Amino acid sequence: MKLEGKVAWITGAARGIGWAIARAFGREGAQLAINDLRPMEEAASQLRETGRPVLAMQGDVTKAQQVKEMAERIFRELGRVDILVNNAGGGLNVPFSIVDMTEEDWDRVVNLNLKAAFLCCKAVIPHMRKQGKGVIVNIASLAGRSVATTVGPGYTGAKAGLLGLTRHLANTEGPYGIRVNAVSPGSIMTELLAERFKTYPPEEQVKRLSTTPLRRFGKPEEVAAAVLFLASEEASFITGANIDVNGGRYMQM
Amino acid sequence: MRFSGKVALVTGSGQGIGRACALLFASQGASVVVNDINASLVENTVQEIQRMGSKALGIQADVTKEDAVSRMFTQIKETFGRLDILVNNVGGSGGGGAGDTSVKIDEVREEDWDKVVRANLRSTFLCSQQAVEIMKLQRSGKIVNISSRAARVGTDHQGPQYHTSKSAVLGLTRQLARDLAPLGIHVNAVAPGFILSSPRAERRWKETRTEEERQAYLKGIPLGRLGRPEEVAQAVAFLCSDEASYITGVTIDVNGGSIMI
Repeated sequence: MKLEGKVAWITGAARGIGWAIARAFGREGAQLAINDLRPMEEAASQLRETGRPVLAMQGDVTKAQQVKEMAERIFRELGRVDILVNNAGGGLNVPFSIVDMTEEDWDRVVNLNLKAAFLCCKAVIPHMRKQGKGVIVNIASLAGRSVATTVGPGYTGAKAGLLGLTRHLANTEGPYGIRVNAVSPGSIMTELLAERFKTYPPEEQVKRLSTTPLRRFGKPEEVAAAVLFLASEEASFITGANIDVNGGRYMQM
Repeated sequence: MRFSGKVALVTGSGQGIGRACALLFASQGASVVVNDINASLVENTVQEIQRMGSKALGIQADVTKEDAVSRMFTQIKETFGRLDILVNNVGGSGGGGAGDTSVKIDEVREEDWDKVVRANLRSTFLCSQQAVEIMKLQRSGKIVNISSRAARVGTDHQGPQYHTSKSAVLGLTRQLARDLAPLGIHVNAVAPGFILSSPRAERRWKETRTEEERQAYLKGIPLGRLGRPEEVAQAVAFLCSDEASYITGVTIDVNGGSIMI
């Protein structure tokens, strides 16, 4: 069991990639703390299949006070945090064109996709430093590595920013025994993508797959596997790194 | 087990990172083809794998030579009838500061250039070419190329021939990933930082730097230490496993944070 005895906090874990990460971690022996804006009970009960308790919290990671309260609750009820996965994110149906989006659209998207990671890291890092050990995995996006083609500039900017935050924290926190890495998913067939994909123009639907060498969408479990690898001791010399999980759609340095 | 029923070839698995990869695959159920230019190192790794209770085939061969590579793959086909994993690990800097080839642009001789480029790049090309012949019939396969931090950034003790060829390995990785995807073959790379992988690496660490310089170097690595071959092998194994089913054309950096792309 790769994560036996580890306490893992996964944000945005009610469904999709976040839930798949929580399931993968639970199967490897982790104690799970999960949160989402949505009600968590169904997601949590499915995760309890391992027989292990799951701490499920409804909370908004874009609000500093709620992040602080969730972190304190995890420390109180589970005693520690070994792994943080900043997974909460999404395009929030913001307009694609800069001309159509508002300042409020920008703030909403950047708050969810970048600021939330900052707030959660800030809440757990002092604790991880005291432990002398910790792991953070940030879920970025192919958009952060190149561009988004259906979501606006705020998403691309925030996801690219998340990669910068990953490197910065890897640099400053490495000496404290904390590793910080990112996973950048491409097109992963989740409920979220299924909803959105229907709204893409047909030429975009075709383009999505024709520019992916593996000619298919990814599965949430395939992202979860990379997150699990980075969270585990198998990645003990890896920090400041990013793993693309995109079927070859974008291969960059 | 993760690699039960799989056959893995690791070039240059007589020592260091290659050996760590071979042993890790064997411990996870694979049959391993151990290749190195040095026959006694081959034997050493083969015996270690057999002691684990796993199957190993040792093949001494210089994988920078086309006919030797061809013979090696014929032997693999005859023995196993399949190949699931190829790790192109053979390579090196030609010694750098420890003295085998020159590293300054004005001192590098044509033979220094050729030797290092052949070791890092030609070997990867030749072995990949032969592996694809087998893997395409299976419509499945995993190739992992061992590049280096030197593909990302210039370093003090290794010559232009090393940086160039390790960077070229990444270019080859990306093109093959795209090209071979329809055949069910995934191609990825691992770029290790400074790994204490062999007596040569330990010599290079100690002899080319003063204690002060070593401390300064370690300060530039967020994790504050050099890496172990097993830590590189874990990234290789992840990429070769079923868990990496949506990953192709990527490079995983295993460098303690010393360079972040």
